[in-house]
Amino acid sequence: MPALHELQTAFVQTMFATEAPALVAAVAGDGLSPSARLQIYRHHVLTSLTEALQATFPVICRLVDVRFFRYAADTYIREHPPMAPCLSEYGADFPTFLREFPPCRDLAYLEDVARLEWALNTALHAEIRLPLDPTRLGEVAAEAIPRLCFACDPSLSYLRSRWAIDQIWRVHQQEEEVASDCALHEEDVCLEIRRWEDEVGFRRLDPAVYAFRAALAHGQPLATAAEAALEADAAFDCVSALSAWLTDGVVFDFTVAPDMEENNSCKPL
Amino acid sequence: MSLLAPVTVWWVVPQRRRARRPAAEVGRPARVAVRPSAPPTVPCKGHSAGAISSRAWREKGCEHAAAEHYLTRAGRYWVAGTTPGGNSGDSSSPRLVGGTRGELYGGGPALTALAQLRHDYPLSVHGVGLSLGSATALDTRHLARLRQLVTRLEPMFVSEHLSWSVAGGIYLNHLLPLPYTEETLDVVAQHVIQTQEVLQRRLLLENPSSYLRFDYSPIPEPEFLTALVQRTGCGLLCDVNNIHVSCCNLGGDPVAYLDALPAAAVTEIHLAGHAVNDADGQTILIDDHGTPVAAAVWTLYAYALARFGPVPTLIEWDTDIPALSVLRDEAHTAIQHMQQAQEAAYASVA
Repeated sequence: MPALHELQTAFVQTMFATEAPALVAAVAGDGLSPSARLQIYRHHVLTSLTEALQATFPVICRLVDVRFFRYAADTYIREHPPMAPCLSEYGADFPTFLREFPPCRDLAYLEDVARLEWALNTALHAEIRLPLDPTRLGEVAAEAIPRLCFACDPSLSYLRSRWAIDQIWRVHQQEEEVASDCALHEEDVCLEIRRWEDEVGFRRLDPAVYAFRAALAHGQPLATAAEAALEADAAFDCVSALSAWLTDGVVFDFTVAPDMEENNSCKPL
Repeated sequence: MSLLAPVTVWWVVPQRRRARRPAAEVGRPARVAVRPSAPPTVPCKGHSAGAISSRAWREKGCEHAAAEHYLTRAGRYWVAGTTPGGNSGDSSSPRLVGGTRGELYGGGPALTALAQLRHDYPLSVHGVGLSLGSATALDTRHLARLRQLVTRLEPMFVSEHLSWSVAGGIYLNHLLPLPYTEETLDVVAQHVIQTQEVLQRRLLLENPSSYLRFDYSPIPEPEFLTALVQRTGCGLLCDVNNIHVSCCNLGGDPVAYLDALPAAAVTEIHLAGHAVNDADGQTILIDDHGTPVAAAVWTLYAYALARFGPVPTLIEWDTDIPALSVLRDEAHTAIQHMQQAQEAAYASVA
């Protein structure tokens, strides 16, 4: 009889790869072969994880058909088994897997649609933070405003794609199979994803607004974010954009970066 | 600064997708708990939050409770059940208690809503991810999250399983079987003690449903559970359906199993339906929580109540969710069994 640790390691190997002889030898038959008994567990492990992926990536499932999805998921699960106890955290690298999975490598938009679904999943489970009281910004000196850095709602994320992934997503929310009214042509799609109350959703942003908000969300100082936006659009209205940013309820804290010419990065929040 | 109204359109994930079931199903419960008059157990250590909620529960004088809350796909989405029955202390009408399974650790609307339900209903937190039987150390990050959840929700009970699910850092999303040896006993006992110390309260341990046993497993399962109770002071969650399923799959006498459990430690009971499958010509029962409680399990439940007393009971139903009335009928059957057990107990005293 192997020690508990060896037995459990052999069990994991048997679930995701090949049957471990040491485990098979340790299982009592009781009228049914040890392999058949282990298969009951393997079946549950693989189907429950497949269902978890299906629930997180329903649009991908519709795009490729459920049968192909299960095939892809089976390969993914064996190559990338869960490394954390929470199911909602499983599937972070599924979009990358889809990009590299040979049978669907031609579906160039698949990875980005999966990234959108993953962002929606992450937003749903993100910790709730109370929005910043805007009056607190009154304490910031005028000359320090360009060095303002923000801490944002953990549900907030930004996604850019060269495919109309928002349209693809929307078309596949309808119950019936519809003829695709979503022309697949390359374009620059900039999305903001977040949760508010108990809703999760996304919207398309103008590229300059996207550059501005994505930079702020990544902790860049206001001046850097404004430069990024102005690079995208020389007519970008920084004051209106900042106002919208502050009234959207996505900011819960702020800091002022040190006043150094070369150093634009912020102190950790 | 002027307010700038967003001119872009937000696209929202539809609720029907998030609920993962037809809209008509929303509001239907999956797990029903029946709460008898027996006082809840007091946590093992100190004056914990759990002790406060248990006392408050007793002071309300509520006799019965039924769960009206469920979480689908391990807490990904939640649907609340019927509204509270009020705190009138009317002991004749069943009240509602929450049962939760799974992932509420990250936060989000599910946890917020459950915390609101907690104002009206006592909860029973039932963990599936601690992997108490793993040879490797407990995931302290996960344990800390559980403590956070328990601190916030102040549940009546906290339970986990006699099983394992992680080895080499890989999580199998299943409650896997253990060889019942002295080595395993040391491992599980140490993990239960650690969990109780972190949570600052007593843990209930549930007997698993099994589809295999190991050749070298010298300690029978009920004796193994008894030893854990003696070593750690934990309580037991007796899943009557699991006993039936395991005894059918592996051979064994379910009545002898119940007789071998330490009655005083049994603090909660689970009931559920199971699927009957054929594997290479042999019948295998699968604990799938997707059908009504089987007749044989009701019989076993009556025996368990006679032995353990009217212990709080939860009906697990989390696949193929039925109409609310079906679940209410199941709860009603459980209540009837409980009342009969209580009357028999009174008669024997008289």
